[in-house]
Amino acid sequence: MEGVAPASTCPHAYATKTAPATAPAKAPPRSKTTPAPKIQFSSPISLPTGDDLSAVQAAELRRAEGGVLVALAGDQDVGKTTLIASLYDRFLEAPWAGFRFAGSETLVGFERRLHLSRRGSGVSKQDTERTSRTAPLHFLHLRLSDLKTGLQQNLLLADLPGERCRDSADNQDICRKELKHIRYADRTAVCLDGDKIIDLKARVRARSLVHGLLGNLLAVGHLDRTSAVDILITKWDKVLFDPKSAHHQAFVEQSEQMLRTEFEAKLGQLTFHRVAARPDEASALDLCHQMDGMVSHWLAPKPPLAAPPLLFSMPDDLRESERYLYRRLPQYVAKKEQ
Amino acid sequence: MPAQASKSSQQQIVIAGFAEVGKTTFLAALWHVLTSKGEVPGALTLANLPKEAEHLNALRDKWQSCEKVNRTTVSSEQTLTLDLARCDGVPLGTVVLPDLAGESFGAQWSQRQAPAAMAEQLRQSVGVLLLVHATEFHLPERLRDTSTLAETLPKGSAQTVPPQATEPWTPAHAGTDVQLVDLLQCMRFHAGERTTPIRLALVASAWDLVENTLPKDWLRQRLPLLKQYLDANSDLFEARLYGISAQGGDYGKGTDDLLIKLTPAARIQVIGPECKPHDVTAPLAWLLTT
Repeated sequence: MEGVAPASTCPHAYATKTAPATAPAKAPPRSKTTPAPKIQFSSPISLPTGDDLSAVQAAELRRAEGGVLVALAGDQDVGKTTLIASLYDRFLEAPWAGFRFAGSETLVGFERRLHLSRRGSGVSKQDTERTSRTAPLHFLHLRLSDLKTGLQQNLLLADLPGERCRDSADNQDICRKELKHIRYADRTAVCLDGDKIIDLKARVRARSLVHGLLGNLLAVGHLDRTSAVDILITKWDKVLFDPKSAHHQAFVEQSEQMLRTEFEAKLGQLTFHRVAARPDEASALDLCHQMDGMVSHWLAPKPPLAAPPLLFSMPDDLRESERYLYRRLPQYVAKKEQ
Repeated sequence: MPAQASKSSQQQIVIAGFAEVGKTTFLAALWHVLTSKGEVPGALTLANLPKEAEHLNALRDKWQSCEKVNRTTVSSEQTLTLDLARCDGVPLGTVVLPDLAGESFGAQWSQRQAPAAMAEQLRQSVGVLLLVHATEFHLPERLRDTSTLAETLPKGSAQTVPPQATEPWTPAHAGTDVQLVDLLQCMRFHAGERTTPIRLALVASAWDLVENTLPKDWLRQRLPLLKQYLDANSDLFEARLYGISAQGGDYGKGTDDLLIKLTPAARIQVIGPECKPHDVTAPLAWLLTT
């Protein structure tokens, strides 16, 4: 097994540095968060870290077991990390959205992200640690089991610092380089910040960023007519509970219509979700408000793959493999025909 | 009592659980029942007395006197080998019970390491008896939940949260159910290419502290992530759930009510599938049957 040292059969193969000979009889307190002293094993086996997966690890998992890869994109502070962490947080309570928790390769990564939303962190208001600008592309993993059929699916969520998404909306070269994983994703979820929507000065700029990002992703070929894209209006509680809520909702409807008009025909699927991953404490909204439909949508069985429309006239005397290239890799054919 | 015993002559069962969940107390009560033939009708018995039983006898003596048993530490870990038989005398073979410290299991979460010997024991075992304390575990509180509670209180009674410095995250901040799910995932990691499910007797210890609840409801209410994981992975873990109080009650509240019972085994409380009220051997019997 990769990364596993040969097992020793010696029952005395480890010793302690600091463990006392006898432990106090007193039972532990209910909320025990004091780190245990580190144990020194003489022949330890290394376990998977449980932290975020790299692009290579995510690809390996997907190759071995299959799964749905959702690439999240959006400006900084739009709530991408909170959305990812809250999905896991929701399963800590009970089955949800028609699925039950069946495992995760990134339990440590999720727990770390939830820290600032918990009392044990010492903060007095829920928060999420910002993803560092220099953080590499990383993936969080959930294995979910359908409550009706029992079938398990992997959900891989790709997160990237918001700064790089913003730069990608401005520059196609950056977009081509930084967001190339979107080419391999099953879905792309582009986030529009509800907090910005209620800011009259910032809302048009926020919408322009989504527009620019989608435009560049299409221009560089990371998205095409087979791609599934979700536009997530995040922090929907801010829009709902703002005094000018009706006005803001009209802006959202206008924005959705605008994006639909511009991009729907250029993509395989374009859907909109108004979500609040971790609504404000004062609101009566549940964790992952209106996200159950989104998750069910992500994990729904895929319709049979329709043959994409041909972009070029296809010669009659082609072999089957060449016909495949014409249908599935039009960019490759276009390059060849130039 | 399940009818068919396993044919293998030597079988290994790992008793797993984090620190201070009652693994050693369970062993002490188990040893008492195994060595007191007839005290618990239908319970497993010893086919042969082991050559050396000083450790187990010491544990049992303390348990019989309602004294706290010393918990196992990493430095005092040892492997117990018992020749077990069913109540009708049919031998079940030799059962190897590694008495491992909770810290060895906890280190898998906190250090992402496991002692090689433990991994090997897990790989060779026919089943795992996993103990979880029924009432003492860590569940992180969400700030949003506690804030909501404060807002529902009458004005003036709401508790204000004192300003505190942010504590950096450590693995100890994670909830017990998350750590248990990770422990089970690690067991499957150690099991390697094994295709058959691991038999898992999940024992909620200190069951005397739980009132009017069935083990399955307790699991759903208190450790929902673990419950979901087990429900979703019946192909990886064949699980049964037990509620057991090996101690019988809280020694801190006085021991006379416990000591006065005519048979010490009558203190033991067991609830679970196919088991009698005081039969602490029932999970082992199930793990050993084919």
